Amino acid sequence: MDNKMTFNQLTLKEALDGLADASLTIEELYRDLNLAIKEKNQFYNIYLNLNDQAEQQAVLAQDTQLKGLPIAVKDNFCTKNLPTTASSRILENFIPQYESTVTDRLQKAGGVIVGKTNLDAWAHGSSTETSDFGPTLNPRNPQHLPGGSSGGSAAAVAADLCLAAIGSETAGSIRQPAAWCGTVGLKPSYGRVSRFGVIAMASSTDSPGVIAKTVEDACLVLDTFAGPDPRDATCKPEVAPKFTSFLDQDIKGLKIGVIYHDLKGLEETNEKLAQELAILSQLGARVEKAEALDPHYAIGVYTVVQRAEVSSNLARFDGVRYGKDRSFFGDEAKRRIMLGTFTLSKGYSEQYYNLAQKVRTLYLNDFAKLFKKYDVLVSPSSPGFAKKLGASASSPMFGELEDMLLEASSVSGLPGINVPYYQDPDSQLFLGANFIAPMWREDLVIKVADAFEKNSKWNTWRNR
Amino acid sequence: MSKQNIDQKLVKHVAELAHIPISDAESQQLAKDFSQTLSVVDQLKSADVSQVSTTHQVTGLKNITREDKVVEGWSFTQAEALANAPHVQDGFFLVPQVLNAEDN
Amino acid sequence: MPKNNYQLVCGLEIHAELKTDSKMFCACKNDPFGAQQPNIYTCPVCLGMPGALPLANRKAIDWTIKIGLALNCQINLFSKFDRKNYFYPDLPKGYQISQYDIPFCHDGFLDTSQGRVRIHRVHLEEDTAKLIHHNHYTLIDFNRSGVPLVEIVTETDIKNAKQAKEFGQKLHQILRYLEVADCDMEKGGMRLEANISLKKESDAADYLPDYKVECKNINSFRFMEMAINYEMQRQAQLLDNGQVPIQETRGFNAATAQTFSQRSKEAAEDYRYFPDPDLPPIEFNPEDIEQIRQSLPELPEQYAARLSHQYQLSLALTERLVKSKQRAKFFEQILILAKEAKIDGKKIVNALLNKKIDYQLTDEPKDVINKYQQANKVEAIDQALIEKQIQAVLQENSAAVKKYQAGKTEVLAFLIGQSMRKIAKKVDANLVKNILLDQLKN
Repeated sequence: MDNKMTFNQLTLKEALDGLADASLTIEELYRDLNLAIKEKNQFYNIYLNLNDQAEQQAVLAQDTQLKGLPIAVKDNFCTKNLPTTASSRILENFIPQYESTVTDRLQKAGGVIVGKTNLDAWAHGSSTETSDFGPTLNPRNPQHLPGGSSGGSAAAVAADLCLAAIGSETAGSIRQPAAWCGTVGLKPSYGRVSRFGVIAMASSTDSPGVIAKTVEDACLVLDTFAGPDPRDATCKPEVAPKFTSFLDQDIKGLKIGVIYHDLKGLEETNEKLAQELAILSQLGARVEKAEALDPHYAIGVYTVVQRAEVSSNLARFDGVRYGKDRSFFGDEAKRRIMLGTFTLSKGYSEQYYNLAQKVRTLYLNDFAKLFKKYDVLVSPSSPGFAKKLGASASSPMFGELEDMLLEASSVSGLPGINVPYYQDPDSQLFLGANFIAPMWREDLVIKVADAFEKNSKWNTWRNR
Repeated sequence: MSKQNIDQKLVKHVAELAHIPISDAESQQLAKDFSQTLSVVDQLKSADVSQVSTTHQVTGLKNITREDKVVEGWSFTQAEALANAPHVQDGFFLVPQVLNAEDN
Repeated sequence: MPKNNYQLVCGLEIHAELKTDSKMFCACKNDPFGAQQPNIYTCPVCLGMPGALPLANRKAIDWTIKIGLALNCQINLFSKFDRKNYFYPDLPKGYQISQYDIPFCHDGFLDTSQGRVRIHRVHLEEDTAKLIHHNHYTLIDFNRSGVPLVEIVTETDIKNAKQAKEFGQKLHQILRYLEVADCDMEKGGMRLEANISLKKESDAADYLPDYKVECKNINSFRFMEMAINYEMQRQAQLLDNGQVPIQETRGFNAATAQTFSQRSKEAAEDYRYFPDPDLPPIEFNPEDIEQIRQSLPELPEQYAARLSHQYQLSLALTERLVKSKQRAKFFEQILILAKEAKIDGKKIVNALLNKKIDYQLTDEPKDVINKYQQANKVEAIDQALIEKQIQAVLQENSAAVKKYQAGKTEVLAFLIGQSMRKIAKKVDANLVKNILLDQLKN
């Protein structure tokens, strides 16, 4: 491994500062980036398509917020004139004639799309192994999976093939791959970011967000696209705060509840987390165990609601106006569409769909109760380290089981953030912590995650 | 509550409803997958939902509507509309099959 | 002649396109019939492209409430949109955004000359694309996809085909009065469907037959009347033979005046309705509904009643005057101005209706009043002068007078004629006659 640092290995903030004080030029950055992509992309299978106009666009964007810095975009965001496939054969040749609100705002703020990253086809999964175009490998350890569904985006960040990445989460798809790849994953509240142009999975929980090298980087990117959109009726009409304003805050007196601390099978993961959370106690926060509703029900809620909504959302793919016909759906997509259709069908919707939406209310109520006592809740993002290649074939419920610790907060629409809290010296793989807060309170998760990151030794880029 | 009997017949019916073409072999495997998934989902039945109602949207938003105005910038040209279609003719989308001539 | 006495069990389903500027869930132009080219009023939303999201048109919602109020409906203060899931090439998303269990309006009525027809519900949804069928392929135009569509469903209160026609015409009139829809049947602006079955007169009042035939694609009220009559005959024949009519969809062939089978509806479709997660629910305050109620124009029934009462005209006459809003306003102005000019309202209205006076609805009512006055000019009567003139006539015609006094009363007509000549003005002949008779007595 070459010890000399290249410019693509900088954090987004470092690159912005470097461009501002001319210690780095945009051309140098893209030179290093392109070399790295050439070296690693094919092996790790991160980008499905690259933007061959990237450097030209970057050069012209020097007078903007993001100064042309390279951002990876998950391939379920519609990008005008750039292929958008959702990692499915059906959309292999689809080139949108319209732009998603997120990528439109990102680019207007000077972010340049490097390329479109791999995902589990249609964002159905937690491994990126069910992509129709092959799995992405985990840059920390290529025998392992990067997680999913935003696995390509998380890997792009971990491999320094971008300075930040856009992802989306329906139930863990930002935070879990961020955890498995040892990066930051910021999932804003549902409704904080416009879903216009994001290929719909579960409409009532889909949340676009950011995967980045640091909490600060994630905030810098989120600031460019969060906020009201007249094209999305479920997007909060009030102006979003500046997320970067929540960095470097004092967390003295903050009440942090540790949930899922006694789940079977998570003993080692929870023990390591408890050790690391001492950092927050040292900073003056009050950390204690808390009792949350059993997360196992959330699996059922998510399974039913997601599949029901996606069965309807994927009905538009009939090969008439675009894409290929429905026989090109992969196995996972077929399973989910059919199960969703089943749980909505006559005679079953009451015992499945309506029941799931009632249990969802139980979680909303449970979190409301917990947040009366605590400002922030925390748990591991994932039951363990990144699984090995091939693991996702073990069960049709692989994804849901892996995302169990994240599903409750996802179906409740809460903001959450993953930060690394341990790296195994042998496997090089990571464990990540998930901080969550009440709806619309990204300020709380950002300030605690930022404090944790800056005072721990687990962030790859802050601890070079 | 009795366990849902997922047999091939049910799977084929659902596949028809969902317009997903599946083979006999696939319907067998899918029946197994369904059963496995539903056994996890059935855990929901042990939750006490007697005091709650359904939540379909978590934002609590209401009355989000738009003014009755044409926005040119949001519309496609005919070319853009047809750009990704596999079959077109004279500005129309073309479906290369006969449908029942029964509609408005 | 059917063997048994059957009673019609019929409910109507009517769709009307609203004439908003933009579509129901997107900002595309709402003008499918006027578009010069196919697929020019489309966007990611109404084309069902990946990632597109709907945004509800506020005016379309308000207009639906207006329609519901005009039809005496209750308004649901909490309402929502639901997804109706099914596959068809004219439905780009593979689901239609419609309303399932909580429609905007419910439980209203519309009165006809044969009694009240209850309205079950009025709800709002989006229209589908237009299909053009050819021998081996189908063409699709999405200009119509997403146009706001109001659906009005009646209870099975329709007693006969004539009443169905009357109901349809009254509804058409009301929608046009509200100025929310043009309802041009030829352009597909209003579509009629009738659900028809028969039961025996001896069946219980609330008995519902276990089949129903849906008649669709009827594009005139006359055809609907014919279709219902044909169906009643066809079904009666089957029932007489001990058969149950197949539950199906039938179309209407105007040339043969018969219905024909289109699609079998063995099992009801499973639409898997669920609340659309992309659209927050709609909530009204009672004040909002009141405001919409205040904005309702006077509807034909009230208009006709008011004119009848205010101007002492028969209801049958005023109903003719209010056939359209433009017509009603014109004739009301005529009646107002006629009253001011001391002209008999009934007379002038009849003169106009019988085409005695030429006019257009776009004419200025005061010009029409003038026209009428010119045509019916009556000069002032100077009674004293006329009496003197008649006296003079009698003096000049003493031979005729002697003849009259001798009993030859037929000479009166000659004397009236002479008097009219002398007076040389337009006067009432009866008045002249009476004065003559009076003077001849002496």
